[in-house]
Amino acid sequence: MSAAVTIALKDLSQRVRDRSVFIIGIVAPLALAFIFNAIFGGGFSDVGQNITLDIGVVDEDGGPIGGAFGDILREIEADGLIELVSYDDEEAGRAAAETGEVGAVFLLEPGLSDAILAGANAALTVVGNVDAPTTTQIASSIAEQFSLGVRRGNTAAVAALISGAIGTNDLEAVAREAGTAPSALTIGTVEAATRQLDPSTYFVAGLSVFFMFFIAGLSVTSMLDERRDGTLGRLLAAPISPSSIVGGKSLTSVVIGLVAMVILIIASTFLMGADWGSPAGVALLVVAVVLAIVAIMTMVGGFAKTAEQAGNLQSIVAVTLAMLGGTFVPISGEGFLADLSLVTPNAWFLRGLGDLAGGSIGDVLPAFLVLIGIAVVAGAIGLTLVRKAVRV
Amino acid sequence: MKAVAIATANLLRFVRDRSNIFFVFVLPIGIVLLIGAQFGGDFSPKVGVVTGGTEIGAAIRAGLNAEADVAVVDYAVEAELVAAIERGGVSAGVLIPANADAALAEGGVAEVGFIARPDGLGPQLETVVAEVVASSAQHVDAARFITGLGVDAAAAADAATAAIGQVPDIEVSVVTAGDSIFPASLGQFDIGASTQLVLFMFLTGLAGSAAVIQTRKLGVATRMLGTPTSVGTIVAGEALGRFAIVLTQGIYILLATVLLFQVNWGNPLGVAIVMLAFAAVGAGAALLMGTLFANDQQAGGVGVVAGIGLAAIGGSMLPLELFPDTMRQIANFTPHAWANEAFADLVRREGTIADVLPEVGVLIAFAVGFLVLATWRMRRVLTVR
Repeated sequence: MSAAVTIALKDLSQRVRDRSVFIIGIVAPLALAFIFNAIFGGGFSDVGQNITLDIGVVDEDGGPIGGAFGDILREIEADGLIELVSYDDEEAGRAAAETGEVGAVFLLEPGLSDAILAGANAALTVVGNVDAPTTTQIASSIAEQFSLGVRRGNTAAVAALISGAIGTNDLEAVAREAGTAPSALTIGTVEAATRQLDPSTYFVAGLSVFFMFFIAGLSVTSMLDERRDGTLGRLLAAPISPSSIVGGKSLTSVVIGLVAMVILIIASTFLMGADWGSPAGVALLVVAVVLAIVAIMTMVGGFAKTAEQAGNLQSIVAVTLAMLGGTFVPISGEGFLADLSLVTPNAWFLRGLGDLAGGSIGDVLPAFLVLIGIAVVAGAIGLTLVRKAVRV
Repeated sequence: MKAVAIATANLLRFVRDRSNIFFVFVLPIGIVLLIGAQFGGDFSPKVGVVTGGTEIGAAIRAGLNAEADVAVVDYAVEAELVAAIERGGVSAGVLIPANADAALAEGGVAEVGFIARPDGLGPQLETVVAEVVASSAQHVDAARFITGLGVDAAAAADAATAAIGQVPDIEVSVVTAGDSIFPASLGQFDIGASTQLVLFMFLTGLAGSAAVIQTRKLGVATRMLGTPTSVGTIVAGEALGRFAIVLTQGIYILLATVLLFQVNWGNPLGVAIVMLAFAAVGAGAALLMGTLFANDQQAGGVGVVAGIGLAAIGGSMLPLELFPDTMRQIANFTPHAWANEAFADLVRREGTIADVLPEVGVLIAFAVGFLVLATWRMRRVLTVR
């Protein structure tokens, strides 16, 4: 055991003197996360952000129905869902939608109230910017719902007339009564928790894990380097078990990995406002993901004969797992890719942090157990392979 | 002639390195595929629905499905729907209770659950759901109202059906205005293909800086200087080698995306000159990197960060049009932004050679700048001891 620690200490001092571990483990993930956050932070992900859609209105009607519609819009604005902009005439409104100044504009034609009150049809036009389909959809739903509300009473009254329950004279009074009757279908709103990371935390967490693979890979490559340089044979000639050598090398990677993660978590919290969540939950996930990554890289390196070959294989595995795990292209939603991403420790780490963000420490357990499971399985295969390589 | 020999040796070394097969040939296509799958399709917000096996639920689901910019995703039970909303799989959810049909038939009230997170687009989607629910309710409400007037249920339902559409209506029509950043004719993989071409050409170039460092470390460059070969020739040879490698990467992605994903790249001559100019930029950058670092591991680490970071700033991960204003200005300091802008002209705006000439001019200036700096640095590192 003490031999393993001695080997780990020697490797650690060697790593620290070679500055590339700082570049790969700390500078690279921080710098890239900073860049990604500057670019994608705003428009790319809406996690943790309250969105307000810009919608314009042109009321050329000026009558009671146009006024009622304006009241509804101002209510929605008061809820913080939209930001309302009034335009004087149709031309100005259309221009605003065309340039994208607002996502959509309501056009209330002159005489709309008069027409409806006289029993004729009227038009309400939604002009949507071509690149704001969602705002256009929301605007069109608001308009449709308003239109439904206006004809709700009339529909019931006309139905009553058709069925012979009332006469033509009662039509207007019945329409008024039916228009205010409660609906059989109501909507109850439930707020869901957010089990997702905000963009800056997502990018730092994803990139830290990605670069962690390269730090972890060094345990096997340094062993293969020692074999090439002949120092491995000398270690084996001493009364040191192969397990101690492998253990010492792996310990080095685990220690560097944990230290790098702690530095990254602290630095990103203060520099970028990342929000990692409750420290105990984060600690569980970080330990588990570092162990899983070191185990995977040991297993992958175990298939190689030279340090160069191991490095290449490890890079390929690291990049593939990062790609599938959503480090470069966030994999959101449902479906095949989302399911596939769960073969990677990257995705489980991010999912664990997301669950922690929306819940309590107990919610990290599934991700923690999966990561530990990966560490145990890959570690067992890796140790077998590497011990064989050490003896040969 | 000597420069060509040096370049050929570089190209051979690159082709023989088997790990390049993955990074140069497999990875770029994988990323283009992933981007196309994630972002190339429908951008519509997703609304999850649990119909509870009810008729009214099916009607609401159909109503949502008919909305222009909402995609419906079905869930069997509430727990799955809530988990999907919490994890961002869908933007909002609609939950119809299993006893809704029975409650309506008995003259009661059914409450449709609308579930959303407080952030993102979820809260706005309630307006869409409210409209669909109101629309689904109008028939029931009208029928129920006149049943209250003493009409029997079957006749009331018929009368309600007949009445809908007979009353004065505010007819809502939706039109769109403006020129789209992304034309509707754009293929699923078209944007990913050109932006990743730019990213990978540069990244492959920077990865090549390790080879430049090895040439120096192994003393190959110094030995070449011992022969009647000038620094200029060595730099030209190394640059030509990088240029060939970067161009190979670009041509491969171009052909692969055309064959695999039917990507429409636009005007072929325009594409050719943009690629040639950007390959020169990649070669220049690789050479410069190769003279700045003493150790190929450091250069590798910095190369990955610079390659991915500059690509992100230059619009290879998010189209430049969607950048915040300040970032858009900063983007112009990267060659990537000019290359991406040129490809946007060709791929999205049916541009011709004349349209991309300004961008190509800037790219050539970048390439010349990198090469001049690299030559100066190379002269220093090779001759000053």
